[in-house]
Amino acid sequence: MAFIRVSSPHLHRPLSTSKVMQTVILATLPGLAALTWLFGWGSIINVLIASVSGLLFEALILKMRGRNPLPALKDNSALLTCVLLGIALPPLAPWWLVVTGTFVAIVIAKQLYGGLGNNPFNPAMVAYALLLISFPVEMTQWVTPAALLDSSVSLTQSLSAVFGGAVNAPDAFTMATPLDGFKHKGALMADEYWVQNGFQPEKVWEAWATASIAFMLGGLYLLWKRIFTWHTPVAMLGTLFVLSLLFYGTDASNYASPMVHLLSGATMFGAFFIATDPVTAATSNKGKIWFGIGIGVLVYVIRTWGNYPDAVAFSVLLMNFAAPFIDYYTQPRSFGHNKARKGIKNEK
Amino acid sequence: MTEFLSQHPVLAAVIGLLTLAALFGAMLGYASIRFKVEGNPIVDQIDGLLPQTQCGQCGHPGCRPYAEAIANGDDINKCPPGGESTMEALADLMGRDPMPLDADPDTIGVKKVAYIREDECIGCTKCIMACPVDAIVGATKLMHTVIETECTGCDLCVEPCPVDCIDMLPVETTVKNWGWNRPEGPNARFENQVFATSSGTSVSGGAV
Amino acid sequence: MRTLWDFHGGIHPDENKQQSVQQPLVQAPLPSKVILPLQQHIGAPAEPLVTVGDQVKTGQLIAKADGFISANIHASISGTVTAIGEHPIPHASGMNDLCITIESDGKDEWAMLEPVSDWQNAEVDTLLNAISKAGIVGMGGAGFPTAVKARTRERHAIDTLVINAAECEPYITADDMAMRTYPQQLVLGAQILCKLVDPSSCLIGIEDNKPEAIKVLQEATKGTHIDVVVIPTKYPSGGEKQLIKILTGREVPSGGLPADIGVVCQNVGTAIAIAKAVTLGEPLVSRITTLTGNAMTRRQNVEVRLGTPIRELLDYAGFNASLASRLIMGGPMMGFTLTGDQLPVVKTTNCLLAPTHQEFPDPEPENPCIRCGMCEQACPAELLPQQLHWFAKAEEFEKAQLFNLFDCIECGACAYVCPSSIPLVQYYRFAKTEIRKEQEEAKKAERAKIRFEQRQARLEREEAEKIAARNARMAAAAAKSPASSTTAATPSPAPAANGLDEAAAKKLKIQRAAASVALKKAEKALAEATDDNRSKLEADLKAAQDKVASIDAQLGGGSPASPAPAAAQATNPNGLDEAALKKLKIQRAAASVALKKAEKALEEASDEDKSKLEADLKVAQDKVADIEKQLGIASAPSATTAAPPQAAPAAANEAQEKALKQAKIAVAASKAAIKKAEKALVHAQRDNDPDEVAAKEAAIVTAKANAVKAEEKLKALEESAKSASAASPTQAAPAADSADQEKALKQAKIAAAASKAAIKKAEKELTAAQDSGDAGQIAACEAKLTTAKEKAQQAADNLTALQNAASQPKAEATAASSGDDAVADQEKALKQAKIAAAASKAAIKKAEKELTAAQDSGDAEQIAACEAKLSTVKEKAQQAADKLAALQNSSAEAPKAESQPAAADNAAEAQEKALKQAKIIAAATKTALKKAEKALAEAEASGDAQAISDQQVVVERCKNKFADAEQKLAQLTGTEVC
Repeated sequence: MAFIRVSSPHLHRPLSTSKVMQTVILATLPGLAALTWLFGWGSIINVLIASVSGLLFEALILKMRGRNPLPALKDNSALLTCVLLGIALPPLAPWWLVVTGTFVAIVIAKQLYGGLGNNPFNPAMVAYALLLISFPVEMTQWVTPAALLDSSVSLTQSLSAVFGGAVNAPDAFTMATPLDGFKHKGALMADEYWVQNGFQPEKVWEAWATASIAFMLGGLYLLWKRIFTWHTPVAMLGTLFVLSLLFYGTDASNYASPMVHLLSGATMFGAFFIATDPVTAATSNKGKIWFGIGIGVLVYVIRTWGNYPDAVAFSVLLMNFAAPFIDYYTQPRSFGHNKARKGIKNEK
Repeated sequence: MTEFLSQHPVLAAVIGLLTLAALFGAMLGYASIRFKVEGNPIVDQIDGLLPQTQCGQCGHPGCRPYAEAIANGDDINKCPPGGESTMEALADLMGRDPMPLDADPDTIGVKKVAYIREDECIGCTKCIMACPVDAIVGATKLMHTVIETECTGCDLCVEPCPVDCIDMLPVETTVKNWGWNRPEGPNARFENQVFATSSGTSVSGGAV
Repeated sequence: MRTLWDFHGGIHPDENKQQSVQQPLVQAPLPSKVILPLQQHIGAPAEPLVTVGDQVKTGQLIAKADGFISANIHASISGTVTAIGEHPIPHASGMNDLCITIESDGKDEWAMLEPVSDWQNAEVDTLLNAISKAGIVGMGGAGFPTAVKARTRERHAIDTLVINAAECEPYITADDMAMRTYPQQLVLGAQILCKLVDPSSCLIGIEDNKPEAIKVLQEATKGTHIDVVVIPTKYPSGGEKQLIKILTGREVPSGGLPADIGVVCQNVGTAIAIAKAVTLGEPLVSRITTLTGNAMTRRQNVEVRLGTPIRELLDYAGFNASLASRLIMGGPMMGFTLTGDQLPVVKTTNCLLAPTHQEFPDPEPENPCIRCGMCEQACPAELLPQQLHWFAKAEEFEKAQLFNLFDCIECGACAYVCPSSIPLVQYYRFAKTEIRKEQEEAKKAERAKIRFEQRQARLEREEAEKIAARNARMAAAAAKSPASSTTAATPSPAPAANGLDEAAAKKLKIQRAAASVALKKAEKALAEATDDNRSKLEADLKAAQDKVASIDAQLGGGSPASPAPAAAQATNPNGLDEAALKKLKIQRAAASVALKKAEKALEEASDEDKSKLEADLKVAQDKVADIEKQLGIASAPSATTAAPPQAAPAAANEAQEKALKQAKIAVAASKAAIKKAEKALVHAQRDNDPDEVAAKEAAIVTAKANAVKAEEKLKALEESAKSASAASPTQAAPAADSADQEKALKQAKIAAAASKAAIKKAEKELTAAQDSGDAGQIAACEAKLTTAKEKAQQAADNLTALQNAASQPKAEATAASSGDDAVADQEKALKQAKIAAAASKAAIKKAEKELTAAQDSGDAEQIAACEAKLSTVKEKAQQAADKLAALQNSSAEAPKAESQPAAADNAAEAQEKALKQAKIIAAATKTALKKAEKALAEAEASGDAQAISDQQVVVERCKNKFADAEQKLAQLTGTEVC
């Protein structure tokens, strides 16, 4: 009689990587729903195109790397990346933009670095940043919130816009995002701009704030499920809040209010779904706080003084660079040690 | 003085340069005395990396001579007892490119120990004389034996034995020195991946 | 309510403890046989005391603890020992180890048990003894010998005793049931432990998932100072370090012991075992084990005899192999899988877990780490498990160590939470094993390096010796060839003087023998010399070789010229000639003794006074050379005039003697070898290197064998010498007698010298011991010294007696040649006096050296003692010098007085001798003066007023002596000139 020999422990928590990824995907649903409700079918179409193409790319590249694609596909990590990318891209973005994005995210940013767990940069954000730089026009065309339109964009209109090319996209469908407005016109003028175009500024804010809150709810669900810890989102949002409050308090006419910063653009989405990507973030609790603070500062700085209206992708990527460094200098004090050790230098 | 110098820029430049030269020369001289390094520490470092089997397989009479030779530009791949890890450590230390080991690939990394078949030993003391670390005890016409804990597995005693009673045996794994293997990891090629079976012989995750 | 602390991380796996607490604790059926591994604990394996076939009773000691950290093993059943050998043991490796197998006789007869009658008033040592005798080890899992742990009070101040009743691992309920069943014994064990470690508080830490046990314990501890502390359930709160943190808020330092922070932690099972061992005298022969897992039908706790094959337990528990996914000894978090069912239950077996596939599915394949950080949140040691995993995977062990890999307690919490199913603990175990291996190898490499270097040094030394020996041989050969060439050349110019030729040849032979002896001596000295004074000795050797060469050259030149004086002397009366010859011979003997002594002194001398001794040696050698020259000159005519048959036995005698001498030298050398080997052995023993000890012992054995051989040879030679002398003509009889006498004398002298050497060695050892400051050693050395001194005294007495005896027969024999003997007596006395003087001088030197050492060390008392010693020694030296002077005067007079009846030549000879002596004395005093002056200069340099004045006195004295000597010399030269 013989039994298997394995190292302890023999008990395992029934929470696998694929379960974790699945939970995160689940948590994006409120946000996705809000986006659909607010901006039409565009986001869902994005997510679908991204998922299909992304999984294909994943399977292909794994095969080429001589690995079994099945377990890797089952771990849902590629799917999550694609969902996040689909959400991040503007609704009604042309299909090739999405496919290019998933190619960059899955093949270049993830698999060429060694696959899951080995990529130093958040794949979705790498793709987003690359698309933003390469196709600035397509990437800044954001659909006008449906609430502001007389008739919402129908599914067929959406599909034709997506697959027919950007040329066919009705101009009326797209508009600048609130952050865009700020970037170029300042708070008062943005309002005036929308008023000129016949929109009620409150409704614009409302739409974006709704989407942000929906994402936040998904994030809170994940926190409750202990998929990640509070450190990164709280640090990032807190930093952003404090900085914007500081500048808004000194000069309310030139700086956007904390509410604008927190509840528009990709702030909430980034805080709960992008910055918390464990693979590319700092690992220790202290490190996560620094990581979040860094993102918060960068987001505010780029939004306020930089060239781009939103900055979550760049901030996260920049902090991805810093993650190993942060890890080295934020090691926790181990049990039975007096002091935490800084860095990896020899104690000799 | 300043006036003179400003009127003769060439002279000023020359004086300035000379002053600087003298200054830096003095600094260098001071540094060479103050921070003098005794001996050749690199040889010690290399010697520290070598396994000290003193086997001479590198063509040098012992580890230290080889360390000196490496310091003077000899190849770093001549130490089979040290194996890949030693070669890599040497490459790292010397800032050279790693190179394949100059040895039979089957024997690399297998720790061995000499064993004398004692009933065949004739007591010639030849192996005693060959052993670089005095790990063989015995006397003329008396049976010899290997002090296992001191044997470096260098092979040098095998050749001189006139009755070929010395075997190089791989070091036995016992309960004391047994340890878990490294798991195979997630990146094992899928055609090789073995999953656990209830029959119990093959085990997943490389836990053999 | 006590304040409780929390530790970082931890997990809450399903407990699954209910299954095994439904049934009460029962005794497992007696096993048909038991297999008892010799190592069921941390530390050294026990040593078997039984042999196959022995009948043993339950509780009988069958293997005793080997070393401090080890544990006794007792028969857990009565029966017959059927095997002592390799048997699979319960270990993660699934490998074999030494076990004792006992086949049960089914009677379970117990051995006599010896309880501690009144433990409350018993000595701590008695209790500790009882615990260690019972072979109790930590029963929580690690198996650390309990007696050792209970002894921590000897080195640490302990304020808290923690009884670990947390039992945090899922499934296991052994401690729970033990507490429910034996609460009184647990309390008793805790009280005994309290007596042993004497803490200010005793806490029983128990998780809140064991309400029954808590109730029972609270009941049982009423009225004692033991606190039952209920702690929240969280794995791994039962980890020693974690439990201590929870209960006291203190953290056991990394790499440290709980005792470092004043805590001792013992398991429930251990405490109960202690109670049994002390109150019942029952050794650890059984333990409580949980049988659980859904592949068993009877899930319960049993009290099982150690060594019971788990097959029998599984049968009892209704184990269904087809349902089981694996078999685990220990809990699901830290237990290890068993690969067979022939393994025995050991002291640390707290659970046998047979889960089904539903409970514990086969492990998932490892997925890549997604750095989710869940492991970090779970780690109770606050490590970065994920980083450690990367490092282990990449075999970056140094970094793993920097990230405190060795603080990992292998609790498995990280692997439990890992969503990627990474066998993290296996990675850490792998890394730890590899690191330990590397450390082991580094240590071994270091040792190999040292051994290699030592061997290299030894080989070099041997090579140097060989070269020296070869050089010596070459020099000897070189000395021989010119000599033979001269002898070959002589016959042609003076074919008539055949006898002269013979004489020259003899002379040459003698000279060569002397020179080669000197060479040998020098070589020996070289061999024994340490590295630092080697160069000096080599110079010495060269000088000796040069001397040989010069003597040969001299002789080469001298021997053709010798016929002239020889012819002149040939006219002398025979008797006179013989007397002169004898005298010369005696002189030569004296000189060679002096030479030998000087050489010996050189050997034994330390570096500083070597140069002086070398000067002495040279003087002595010159003297010998001179005397030998004279002897050669003198013996030449005697050889020609004496009858050839008479010369033949003499030559034979000489050869005999030479052989004897050689044999003696061989004996001495072998003895020295033995001594050296013994010393090396002592060193080796001190270094505690068993292998080296063995090697050295072998060396001693061979050396001793050599010595025996040499001695045998010597004996044989002596016998042959005796027989030879007995067989020699009647004329030689008294000579033989005297030879015997002389031999005895010599032996006595050797004994005296040996005893002196022994004294010296003892003294040296004493100083070493004093340096090391080991009182016991000092005492031992002093005792040795006294015995050595006594022996020396005896030897000296013996020597004097012999010398007296030797002088007596000679005195009796004075009828024939009273003058000569008187002279000889005189001279012998002189010699003795000289020896005494030299010895006293050496003593002075030694005392001075000691004094300097003492001054260096700055110990006032020692300085005073040394100074006192020095003054006494100086006094003695003065006496000796006086005596010597007196003797020299008388001897100078004696030959003069004697020479009256003798021929004029004799007088002249005496004159010459006196002159030479005077010269030597002058030279000696001059050296002394120089030395004194040097000492004075040194003293002045050091600026010590006392020393300066002392030295000035010495210089003054030396100057006076020198002046005296020169005056005498001048007188003598004057008389000669007259």
